[in-house]
Amino acid sequence: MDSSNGSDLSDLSDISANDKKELQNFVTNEAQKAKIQTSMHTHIPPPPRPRAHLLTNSVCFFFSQAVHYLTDKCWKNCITSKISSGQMDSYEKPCMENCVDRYIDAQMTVLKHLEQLRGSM
Amino acid sequence: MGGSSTQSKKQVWMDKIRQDAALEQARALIEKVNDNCFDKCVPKPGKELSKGETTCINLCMEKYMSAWNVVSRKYIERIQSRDAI
Repeated sequence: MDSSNGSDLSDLSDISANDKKELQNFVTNEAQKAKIQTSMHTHIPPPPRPRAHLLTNSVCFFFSQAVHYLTDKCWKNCITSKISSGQMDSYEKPCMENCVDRYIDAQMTVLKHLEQLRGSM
Repeated sequence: MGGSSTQSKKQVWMDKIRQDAALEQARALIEKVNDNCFDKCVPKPGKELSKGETTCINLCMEKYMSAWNVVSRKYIERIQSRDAI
């Protein structure tokens, strides 16, 4: 492989229209995958623009924010005692799992109620 | 520029995107570990990090990562069972 390929990623000027399209699809797919994990996040970032120089940044931005968000939140709720082991105990693990499930339930309840409110207006 | 060269260029891009995404994942995780484990293990910062605090941070880090895995698994499971939503 040409060694300059690795260092000059921003130069896409000589890539064919077909290849460009393929790259765009790839990015859209990757972003979609990531979006599954982001969809819970309260502030959903705008979808990535398929512009070459923005590709990497916008895809990165999407990745797994929801999992990070939920781990952070549930950690604060469930890991309340002193840390004495590197593993979660028999209380903490189910608590983390329930926390994820109930968070989604709560979010769905809010959305459903919101819909009801909108319907009655 | 021949076709094979743009082909490899595309590959480089895809690899770069995947790599960046993985890097971003790791960065976000470490940030959260720092945040939560500092709060948990160093509630009253002293002149230096004590032995106990260091041990706590190491254990906390392992625990946080396994918690992350639990959440990730659970979350994906929930998202994939469309009817549960």
